[in-house]
Amino acid sequence: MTPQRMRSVYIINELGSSFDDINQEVKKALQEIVKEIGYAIEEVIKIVRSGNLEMIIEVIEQVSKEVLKNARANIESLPKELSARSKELRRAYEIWKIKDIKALFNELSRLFYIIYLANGDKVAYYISVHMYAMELALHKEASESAPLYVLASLAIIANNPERSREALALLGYGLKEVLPLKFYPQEPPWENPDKWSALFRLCYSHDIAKKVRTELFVAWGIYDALKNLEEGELSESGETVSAT
Amino acid sequence: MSQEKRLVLLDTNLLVFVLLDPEILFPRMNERDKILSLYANEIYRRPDTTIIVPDLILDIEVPRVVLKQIVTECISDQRKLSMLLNAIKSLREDIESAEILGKYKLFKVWNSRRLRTAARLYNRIRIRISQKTEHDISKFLKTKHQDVLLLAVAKLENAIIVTADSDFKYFVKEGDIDVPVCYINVDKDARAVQISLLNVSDTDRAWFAEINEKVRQK
Repeated sequence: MTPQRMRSVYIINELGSSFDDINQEVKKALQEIVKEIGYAIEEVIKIVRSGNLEMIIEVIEQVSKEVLKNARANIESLPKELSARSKELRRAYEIWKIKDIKALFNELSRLFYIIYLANGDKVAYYISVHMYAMELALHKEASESAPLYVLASLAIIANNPERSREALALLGYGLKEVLPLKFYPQEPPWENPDKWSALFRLCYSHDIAKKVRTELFVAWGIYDALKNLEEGELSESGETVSAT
Repeated sequence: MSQEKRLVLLDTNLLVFVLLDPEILFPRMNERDKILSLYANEIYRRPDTTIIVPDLILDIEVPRVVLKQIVTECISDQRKLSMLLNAIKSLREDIESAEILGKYKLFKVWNSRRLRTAARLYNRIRIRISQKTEHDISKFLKTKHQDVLLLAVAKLENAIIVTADSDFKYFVKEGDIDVPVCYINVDKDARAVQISLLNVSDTDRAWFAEINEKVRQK
């Protein structure tokens, strides 16, 4: 099991040399999987490609129970599907030894955020965001349609990364019941996608990005240096004058 | 919805507790920092509050500290360097997202009007304190230019400064500066917490009393 403290440092130490391979393999695998999932939820995918947010949400809210069940099953099988197509990811799973699927999505999200930090690849960032969204979609309190919102968002980004704002707005709206921060915009996402997208980004940061950055800043001494910023400046100046 | 939010300027060493994850930092903090972190995060969580982040913190201070660590700790691995730079970039992007929701407000300091205000405050503090105490504090004040910049930001934005640094209290009180300041004084052993409120309105007093109560409960 990954040590609970400083998990990000552990990921870098154990998997750092494979970051590029994991990134390439998972990107390719996801492209294929999104295509396969697309056949199963064709009616939604058609609208995702051509419609606006209001139309997409309307379709998602009206699909049959069968489609919703399939979407959930697609998400639950995703970690296995990915590892079947990525040798390096299989190695990561062996190191992590995580049984719980939500914990596994959380670890995958951390891994891809770290890969994004290491190589600046925005696709890795969006993979991380969607792994986190999948974790949330499997929560008990999430709506029944939450997994379909996540797949629709993934399909939007895979089809056109320029529409990332809409994709993230969809995640914010579709997962609103399980978001850790409740700063809900008053307007619906089709009226103000910026706010819904920002809300999801902020939640993702709260649970993933901020934690990873903090662990790295602590491990590399940046936190101590930041905290002592002002004291450091004073001692550097050689001043001993007390201001009070 | 468009209820006006209270603007708060957290001093840099309190802002750090909000920008980084408090759960991860908590086990590493001394008792004093734990208390200060509780105050900072209580302020951040309030829906009626927007935290001002002067751009100089993200554009100058954080990169300066990172650069110092890179040199003094000899961090030369290219991957580590990329991670540090992208982490700073990503932090800024997160703040920009939070700005859309009104949680943060990025404030551009690099502007002649704003810098002029800082220069005026600097001179005022220097002259007033020298007159009152008959000590020339020029040398000391020169090491505090950033505090004066934060005072200028607070003045221009009509924000309250929340700080654990006694210099702010000193500058405002002795320099006759009309910027609201909330100074949290935690003694070294964290046995006593003293709050000083200067130039603070009754509404701000009530606002801080609520925060104080929540922190005490924790």
